[in-house]
Formats: sequence, C-alpha cells, structure tokens
Amino acid sequence: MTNLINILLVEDDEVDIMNVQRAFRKNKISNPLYVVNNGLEALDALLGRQPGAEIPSPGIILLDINMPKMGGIEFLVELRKQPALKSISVFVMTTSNEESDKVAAYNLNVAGYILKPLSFEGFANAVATLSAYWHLCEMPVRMPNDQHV
Amino acid sequence: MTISIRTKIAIAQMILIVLVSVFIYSYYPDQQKQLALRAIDGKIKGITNMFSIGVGIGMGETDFVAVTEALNWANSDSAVVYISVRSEGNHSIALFNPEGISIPEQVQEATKGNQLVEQDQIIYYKTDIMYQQLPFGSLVIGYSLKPLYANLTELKKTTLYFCMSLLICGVLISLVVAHKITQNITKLDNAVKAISTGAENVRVQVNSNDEIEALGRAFNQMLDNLTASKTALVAYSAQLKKQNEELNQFSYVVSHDLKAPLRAIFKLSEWLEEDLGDNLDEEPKKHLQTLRSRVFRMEGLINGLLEYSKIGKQTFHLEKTDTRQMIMEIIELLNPSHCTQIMVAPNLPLFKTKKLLLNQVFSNLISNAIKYNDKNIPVITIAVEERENVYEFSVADNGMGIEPKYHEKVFTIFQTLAARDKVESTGVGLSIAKKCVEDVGGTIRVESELGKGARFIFTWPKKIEAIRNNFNVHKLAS
Repeated sequence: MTNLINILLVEDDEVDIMNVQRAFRKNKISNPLYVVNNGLEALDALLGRQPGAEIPSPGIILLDINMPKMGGIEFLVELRKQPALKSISVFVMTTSNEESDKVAAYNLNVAGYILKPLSFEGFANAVATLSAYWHLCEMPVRMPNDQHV
Repeated sequence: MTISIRTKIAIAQMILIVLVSVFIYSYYPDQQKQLALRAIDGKIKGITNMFSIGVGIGMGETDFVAVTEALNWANSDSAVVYISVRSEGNHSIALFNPEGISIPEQVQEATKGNQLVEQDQIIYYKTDIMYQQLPFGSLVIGYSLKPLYANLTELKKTTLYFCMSLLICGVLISLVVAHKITQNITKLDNAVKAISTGAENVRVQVNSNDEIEALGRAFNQMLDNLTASKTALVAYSAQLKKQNEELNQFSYVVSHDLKAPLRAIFKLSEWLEEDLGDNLDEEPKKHLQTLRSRVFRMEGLINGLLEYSKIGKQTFHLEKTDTRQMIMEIIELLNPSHCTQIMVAPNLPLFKTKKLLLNQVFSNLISNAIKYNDKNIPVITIAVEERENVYEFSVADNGMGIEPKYHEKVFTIFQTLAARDKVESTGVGLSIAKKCVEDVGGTIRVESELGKGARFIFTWPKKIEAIRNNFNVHKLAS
C-alpha cells in the first residue's frame, strides 16, 4: 500500500463530508482523507501557516465551490499562484450547475467538474469512478512541491 | 443650398430699400414738375391778362406808354423769352424776341381762343386781346421752361444721391441687424452642437432683450431639466443594476443554499434506511421514500425557478435556425410513447433567430402536449402561419384541455391545474415559454376548452435586433 496518495476534501457541509466519507467506506477506498471546511483553511493547512494543522501534501483535492470565507474558485486562484501547490490535481464536486463556475474552474486547470448527484447511490458511483481513475493515473514519486518543502 | 438668415434679412431689406428708392426717384421729381407746370401755367395766364389789359388799354387809347410798361413788366421775368402783339389784321404791333425764336406754326395759325403749346422747352400761349368786349388783336407769350428743367435735373440728381445713400445706409444697417440676430442664433446653434456631441454643463448667454433671449432662457431651462432627468436616470440605472445584481445573487443563493439542506435531508433518509436495514418496518420505509420524493419535487421547483430567472439575463446569440429540424430534435429528446402522433408542418421556417429561446418555447409546449394527454392516441399538431413581421406558431393537442377561466393563470409561475401527486410538474414550463416569447417581443395565448384539447399560439418576430444590452452579471460565491 505504498501508492496511497493523500486526499484533501475542502467542504463546509457536515452532511456532504459524511457523504464523502461514507462513499469512501462503501467503495473501500483507503486513501487517507483530510478534511478542511473552506478555502482559507485549506491554504493554511497546505502552506503550513497554522501550527498544528499541517497536513501531508495531498495528491488530489476534492473541492466544493460554495463555502464561507473563501469559496472554491477563489481558493483555486490562490492555489495556482503557489509554485509548490500548483501541480495538485483538483476535482470540483459541487451542486453548482452555473456555467460561469464551470468556465472559471476549467480555466484554473481542474482535473474534473463533477455535479453531486442527489442520491447517495449516484454519488458513491461517482466516487468509485474517480477512485478508479486516480488509481489508473501514474503519479510522480516525488511531487514537484516536495522539492520546495 | 442653404441661405443664411443674415443673407435673407439683408436681401429682404435691400429689396425694400430699392423699392422705396425707385419710388422716391420716379415719383418725387415728377410731382415737382407737375406742381411747377401748374404754377407756371397760372403765372403765364397772369402775365397774359396783365399784358393784354395793358396793351388793350394802350392800343385802345393809343397810349404806347402803357404798352411799353406792360412790355417792361413782362420782360422783368427772365423766363419770358417771347412776346408778340398783333392787330386784328395780323400786323405786328410789338415784338419782344431777343433770342430770335421762331414760334411754332400751330400757334401762329391759330385764330381763335387760347392756345397753350410747348415746344423746345418753351411754352407758347396765345390769347385774344379784348378791350371793352371788342377783339383787338392777339398776343403770344413764350415762357421758357429751361430754368424749370434745370431745376428738375438738379432735383433728380439730388434725389438720386439721396436714394443711393439711403440704399448704402440701409444695406449696412441691415447687415448689422442681421449680424446681431444671427450672432445670437449662432450662439444657440453652437450650444446645441456642443450638447449633441456630449458636452455637459453648456449654457447659452444671450442678452439681446428679445425673442432670442427668451429662447435662450427656455433652452437653458430645457438643459437644466435634461441634466436633472439625466442624473435621475443614471441614479435609477445604477439602482437597477444593483437590484439586478442582487437578484442574480439571490437566485444563486437560492440554488445553493436551498438545495444544500434538501440534499442533506435526502442523504440522511437514505442512510437511515440503509443503516436500519431489516429493522425498518414497511410503513416508516414508505414514509422515508415519500420524504425523498418531496425532496425531489422541491429540487425540481428550485431548478424551475432558477431556469425562469435566467431568461432575459443571459444574452442569446442569433443563430441560423431550421425550425422543423429543431422540433424533430426536441421530439426525439422528449421520447413520447410510440402511439403518439405528432404532425409537424412542412412549411416551418428557416431563419436567423435566438434559437435557444425558441427551442425552450417549443420544448415546453410540446412536452406539455405530451404530458397532459389522456387519450389513447395523443395527436399533436405543430403549424405555422406567416404574418407580416412575425411567424405565428401553434402547438395543438387533443388532450384534456384547459377551462377558459384558467387561460391566463396557466402562464403564471408555479401554477399547475392538476395535483402534483397526479402529474409531477413544477408549473414553470408555460411561464418559461411566456418569458422567452416576451423576451423577443412576441405574444403567447391559448385556445382551449375543457376536454377538447388545447392550442397554444405564439408569435415570434422574423427579425431580432442583434444587439441587446445586458447588465454584466456579477456573481459572488457564497
């Protein structure tokens, strides 16, 4: 189990967090899942600005769009500005079906934009597909961001 | 060709002055001549009377002193250039003719009566000399008009000079007046031009104390009003923009913030059911399912509301639209039961329009026609009639129909005529169709009776303005 990449979930809704955790359990995805509640917390954790809240650098970020303090798109803008973090794959998982959000997200090089299905069944399937996808993808042994840390 | 007001005024004045000058020049000397001639006439008669009396007395009494006196008296007027007195027998008694004038024959030959003849600027007057009612002889007096004509020529010259100076002065004055008037008009004109090129705070300064000043004041008043209403308009449009932004944000908030708890409810009910598993009785299980179906409905309503609020905010581009093909695609997408008969008119137009909006209208109308149909063989007819500026499309069905009292109401958002439990509907379809049609300036109506099917008719302009100003949509992620 050496190739288990860290996953960071940026999500403010408690039930949505439970939803992801449940989907992970159901699909027997054992990648370590770290959770933060908004874009600002995510940046703090990634950049180690908050002592005690550091997390190992993730290979994948699951990002919600609508969050307090700092939303998903704003977070993406900040993330892509950081040389150490700009290579992280980001999957947007949101309820926002707004065209403007999709355009903005893809302009910031997201790996995918996923609309959360209403039913848990649908969501679990989506997470399973994602899991299969990132298992298929080869990740570099040393992430570019490691060189800077 | 434009003729400036200045030129027009100058020309009008000049014509007037020329007329006056010509009148003065032609009338005044002539009148003077007439007056002079009348005076001369009287004078000659006076001289003649005096003379004939004097001569008559002198001749009758053979008193040549009286004749000589009369001659001297007549001679004192330098204008008298000829005097001849002849006896009845035509013998010359006295002759005064220093210039050696030969008198005209008609005067010479005239026998009786008074004769007045003008020749070579001399008036000859012949009269009989009477003494004690007896004819004695004849008298001819020549009176020179040369001094008079010389005076008249002088007068004409003076009049001409007067008229010419009048003309020159008049032209100059008219130019000055025209300049004064047009100067103020030019001020107004410049102000108007400045305003039309977008200058602000332009005011007219006219102190001519006449109608133009009044016009200038009215113009300034108008500008003040214009500025005021412009300011109000700017404020209003800013307010409108703000409200529009708020509305956008509102619909976004609605979409996310209302949906999030719904989703949570939905998921939690699923997890409850899943976690309880076999411990869950049939009835609570059914309740959980109903709960989820209501959540679905609510989600549908929210989506409908969002869709409705989006129309008119987005800019829809003009696209070449094959209406018939578009309708075929809609029907394919709606996937009606195979017994449904859909008749699509062959003459549906191919034109450039806001395709997405037209698509929305047809989608909603056709899907309603399919959905609200209780017949075994639903029949839907799609037709078009070409009017002058618009196409009049119609979607007719043989379904359950709508009572006339609901014909207005069906286009209102969230209005459904059947209970939602019977026919799952959000009640936004027709309101969206109406909003789309009205967005391009068309109208929509329904013709229907209960149980007799319904026919939705809407007009769609053949040409749509390409440019439409939309407020920029600013959206804040919550």
